[in-house]
Amino acid sequence: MAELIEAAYNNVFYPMYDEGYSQGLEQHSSFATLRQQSQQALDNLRKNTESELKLYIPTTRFNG
Amino acid sequence: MHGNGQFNESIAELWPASPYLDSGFAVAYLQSAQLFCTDGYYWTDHYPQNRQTIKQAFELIKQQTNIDENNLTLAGFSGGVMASISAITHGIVQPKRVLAFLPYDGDYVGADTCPNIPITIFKAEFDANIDALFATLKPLAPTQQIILNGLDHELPNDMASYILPYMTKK
Repeated sequence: MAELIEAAYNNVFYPMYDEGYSQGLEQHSSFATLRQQSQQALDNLRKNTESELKLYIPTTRFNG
Repeated sequence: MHGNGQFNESIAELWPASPYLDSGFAVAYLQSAQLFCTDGYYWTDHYPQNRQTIKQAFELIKQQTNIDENNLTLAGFSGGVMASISAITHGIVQPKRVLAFLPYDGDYVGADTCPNIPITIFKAEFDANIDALFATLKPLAPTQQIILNGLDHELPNDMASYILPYMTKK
């Protein structure tokens, strides 16, 4: 597992498309911690702003 | 409705309003309130808030324009249409139809049935599998899937040719 964690930090990719492999990895507590840290980092990058609606109305005939 | 990481301006370039305006339809572009770093706006990070954004947009459009309230088409790309599907299956808005371009699977679908809101899913041939989404929607709303041959997760060039036939259908 230590090797996997180090690989993750070094952006080395393991075969997550292999279902057995990815399930085993995801159940490991270190993976859960990493995922939580990653989620937190992503949350910090999100910012609430105002939504924006741009409306265009036809100038000739109008169907709705 | 733009996809994740896009803006109103960027989706308007890919999906111009002119063909619909020329056919007599009003067009609204709605941008999410959730800015992610400098990478654009996202729809899929907080569904409850984004469902409310869609609801407010519907109310504003109805207040500000003389549109036919019974002929609203909700159309979007990827994350934007995932939020749209989430809104209708949570009973938040009731458009006449939903045109869903390249949504992904996910746990965003609500439990409200919408027998009067047909959903047409346009799936790109080389995009991710969405069988689970299709199976979830089928019991809730009349749902059909159309395959866009030769495409990955991208909008086709001639969007209007896919959309206008539905909008002019009685």
